[in-house]
Amino acid sequence: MTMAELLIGLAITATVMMALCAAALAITTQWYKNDGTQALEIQGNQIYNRFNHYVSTSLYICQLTSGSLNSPTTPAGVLLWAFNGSPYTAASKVAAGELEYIYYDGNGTLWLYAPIAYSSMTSAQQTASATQLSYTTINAVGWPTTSFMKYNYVQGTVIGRDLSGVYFNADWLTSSTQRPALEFAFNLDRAPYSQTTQYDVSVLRAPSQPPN
Amino acid sequence: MASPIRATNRRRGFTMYEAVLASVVLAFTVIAVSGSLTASNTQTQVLQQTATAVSLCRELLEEIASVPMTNPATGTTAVAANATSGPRSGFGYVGAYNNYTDSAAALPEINGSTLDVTDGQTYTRSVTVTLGAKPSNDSASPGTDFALVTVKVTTPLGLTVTMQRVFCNYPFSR
Repeated sequence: MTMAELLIGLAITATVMMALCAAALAITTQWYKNDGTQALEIQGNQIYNRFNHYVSTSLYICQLTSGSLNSPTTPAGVLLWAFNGSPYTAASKVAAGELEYIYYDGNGTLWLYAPIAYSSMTSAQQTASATQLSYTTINAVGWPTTSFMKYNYVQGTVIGRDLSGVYFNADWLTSSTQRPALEFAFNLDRAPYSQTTQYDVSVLRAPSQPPN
Repeated sequence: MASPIRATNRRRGFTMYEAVLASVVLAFTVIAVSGSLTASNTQTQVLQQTATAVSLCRELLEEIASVPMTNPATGTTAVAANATSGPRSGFGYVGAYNNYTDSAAALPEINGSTLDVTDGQTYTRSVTVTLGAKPSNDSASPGTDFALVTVKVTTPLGLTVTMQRVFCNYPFSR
């Protein structure tokens, strides 16, 4: 075998190996993409189910920060009047212990901030969480993030991760003939191969008028 | 003069026939591999679009759950012949959604604003409302006083996802 033949043989071998590698890369990329897509769809449905559970059972949508579907770093939030009555306030009155805040932190995670169980609170926490608040107070812009989320009896739990943009919009908040509906859309991202957008609405099944 | 021994030891190269045959074999292999990759890619698209279509179906069905079955303006459950072209926030009762359709890359929200939730792809949604109908395997429910709402979504690949929900006629107050 001459040197020229050896070099030609090596070049052919290298080309074949490159082709095999390219094919293997394409196949694994496709597997990765398939896997990511399936995982994201399941993840999206989980987020929807959790979100829908909190929203549909609540009494009222107190305030809302819309956020943006196209801006992953823009926070969004919905303050919900989750329930009313014992051990907190009388009918149509509201206390921090009756509220929940769904919050997108602008960093990929959707949170639920809710009070811990009344029976698990200290007596000071029980008193604080049952103190009646005015609707004006809880509806003030920024109150959920500057006050509610910082109460020592309020705890954050994760509703979903890998989000890259959340958008909320409320309709029929005070209608006497229709139930309030909360539209929400979110992007789920598993860079660089999979991304999905989910658009849904959640309707309050037994809504109340705003607390007073 | 060239040595006869040296001439007979010299190996011949590939013939044109062999080279073409090798190329054909290689081409078939490439086609087979790329075919499976294309099929896999299409399957991923089908999965994505079906999931989006399910979400869009569910959105409309859940949205319709927010309105009463009885038209507040007339006190009847009569179904509109065709949904009006305005924002869905003005529909007000279940029957008003009959024959509602939207088809756009950016779908209309309830208040009429648009939101691109389909990555710029066009999905077509349509709604039909049928009074008094019930699922064929339901022999217990009465034949009237409820509506069967059917939402159909067609994906950019032409797949169709259909979801149905029964809405009962009960009063709403808050």
